[in-house]
Amino acid sequence: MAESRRFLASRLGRRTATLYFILSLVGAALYSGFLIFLFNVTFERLLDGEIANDALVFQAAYAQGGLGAVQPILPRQEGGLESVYAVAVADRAGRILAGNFSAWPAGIPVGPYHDWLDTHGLIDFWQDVLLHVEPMGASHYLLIARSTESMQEEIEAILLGLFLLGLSLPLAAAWAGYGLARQPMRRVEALESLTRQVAQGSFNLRAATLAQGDEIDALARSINGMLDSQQAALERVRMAGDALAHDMRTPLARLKLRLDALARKYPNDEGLTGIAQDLDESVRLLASLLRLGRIEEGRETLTRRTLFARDYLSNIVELFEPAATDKGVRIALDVEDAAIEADPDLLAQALSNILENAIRHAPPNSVIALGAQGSANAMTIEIKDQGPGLTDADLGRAFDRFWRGENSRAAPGYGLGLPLARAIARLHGGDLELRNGPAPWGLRVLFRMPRG
Amino acid sequence: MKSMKILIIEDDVGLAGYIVKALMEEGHQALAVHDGEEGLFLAQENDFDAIVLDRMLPKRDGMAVLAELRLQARMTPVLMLTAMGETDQRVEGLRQGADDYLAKPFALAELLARLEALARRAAQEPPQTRYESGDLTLDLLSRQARRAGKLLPLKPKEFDLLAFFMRHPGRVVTRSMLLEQIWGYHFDPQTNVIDVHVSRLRAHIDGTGQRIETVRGAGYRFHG
Repeated sequence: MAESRRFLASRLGRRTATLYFILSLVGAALYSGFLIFLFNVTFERLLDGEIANDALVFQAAYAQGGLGAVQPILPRQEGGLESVYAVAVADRAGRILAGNFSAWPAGIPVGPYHDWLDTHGLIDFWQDVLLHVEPMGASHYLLIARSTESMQEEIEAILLGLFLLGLSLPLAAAWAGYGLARQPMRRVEALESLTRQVAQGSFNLRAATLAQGDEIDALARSINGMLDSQQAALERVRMAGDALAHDMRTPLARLKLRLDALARKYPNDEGLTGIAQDLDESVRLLASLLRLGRIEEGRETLTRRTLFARDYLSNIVELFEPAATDKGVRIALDVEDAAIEADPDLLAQALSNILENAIRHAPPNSVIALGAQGSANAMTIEIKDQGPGLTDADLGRAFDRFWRGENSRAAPGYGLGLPLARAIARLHGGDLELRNGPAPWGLRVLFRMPRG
Repeated sequence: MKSMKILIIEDDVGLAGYIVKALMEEGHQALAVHDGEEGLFLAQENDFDAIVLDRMLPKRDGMAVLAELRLQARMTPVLMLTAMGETDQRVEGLRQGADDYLAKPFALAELLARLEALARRAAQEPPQTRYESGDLTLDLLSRQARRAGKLLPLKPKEFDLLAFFMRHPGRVVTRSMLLEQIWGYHFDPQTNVIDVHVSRLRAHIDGTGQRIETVRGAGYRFHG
């Protein structure tokens, strides 16, 4: 259960993180697109300006000395259109007369022109060339091409920046989203674990509250308020129970004494005997319930004595041996001798409840094994029978008050034996555990307690 | 059975009245008072064979009455009435000097059997090591029991049980008294474990006659 809760919590965290990641990725993409568009426009205007300046220089030279004056100042390096800087003069038919253009650019009509040429395909769109063609004099064209290659480093830096931004922003957003989702989830988990512990009986626990007073805090406060009133109600019930038990014992004692006196007077009256037995049973049940309540709430004081496990346990086995033998059941004792500190009467009550159960469910000609093993600071007393054991569902219910297994409906007892045995184990700082098998064993009851 | 003089200190007038009535019907003398101060006064001024003392009393608590009595070296046997379900009160009572306890509500037979046992214990019977009853002989030193001279193959607890019966002939002994005296346990078994032990013992000692009688609603009586 704890695993699935943790999984749910992290799933919520993951979901939030993924959402934040996608949202910020879209945001970063839109923003980067806008920046790229702006850069594009800026580059174009920069190149436009440079081309216009160059055109002015060449036009001026042409105006002064014609084609002959232009030729010396034309760039000479090879490379044509793809070079950073290309200038050429062509005649009106489009034939290149001078400059470092090898031919009129393919696909461009002969005539004035001003636009980008895609020389590298889509992928290298940054390394485009801006081509400018304008008439020069009456019989020539001036062609100027500027590549963005000169700005390659800046462009790459900007692209890298945008790439890093596009990558880190969504990651940061995802991390923040995960954290944002986890932090309240952790507080919700704490509340959940609190309510689970309260459900198991720790009514004195309270949720931690923060000063910030958000919704989870409000929830924690209202849970605390609920627990306060529940604990107060429990206290009232407990006091009412005590008062009730105290008030009942005297009228019950009167009733019992008068009934006993009557039964002594009319010893052969079956009706009176029956009423007396019913009353005894009610009194025993009430006493068991009150004792269970006192032990469970820790109001019963332990009177610890040093007990020697072997003597103590063989004494108890000796008490139950004839009852077991009558059923054809043998009690086998395998006890490691160790000193334990325990309340002899309460421990005897617990072990006799367990043994009585075992004898009740043991088949004829079977064995009940009572073993005890001690470690440095703990002692485990195990009682196992060769009966049918308990179903998995019943293992979970066996400590419920008044619960009795299907096959023990007809047997005596009120279904308080195991709850009482466990309460006694817990009062000693230990616990009681139920297990099944392995074959040939049926139910195994493990009574654990610290030795000191 | 010799007549006993019993003081009952119990705040419930009705309950105290029934106890007095039942004791008188058994041939004992009984006197009831309903608060701790009056009870303490009477207990100091008179010699009772036993005192029935409730744990919760007006004016002076039962524990305080007991402590005061023992402080004044009054050793009258005290049977404490404790609250049902509160088993640790027994330990507290015994620590304060109570001789026995009974959880309220209790059976009349249990009260009578325990009071008689208390008064008898206080009467200081001379200790014996050999008991004889009919064809039964029991030696506490050698831990041997014989029937018509023949050694009985008793288990240790069966021997203890027989010894207890033979030391209290003609007296009603309840199952919880046996559990306390023979096994040393103070708890309430859900099943008839004691009855099984007694019937084992019966099989050994009862040839023809009913030596150990079952007293309905009370326990057992050994016929000497």
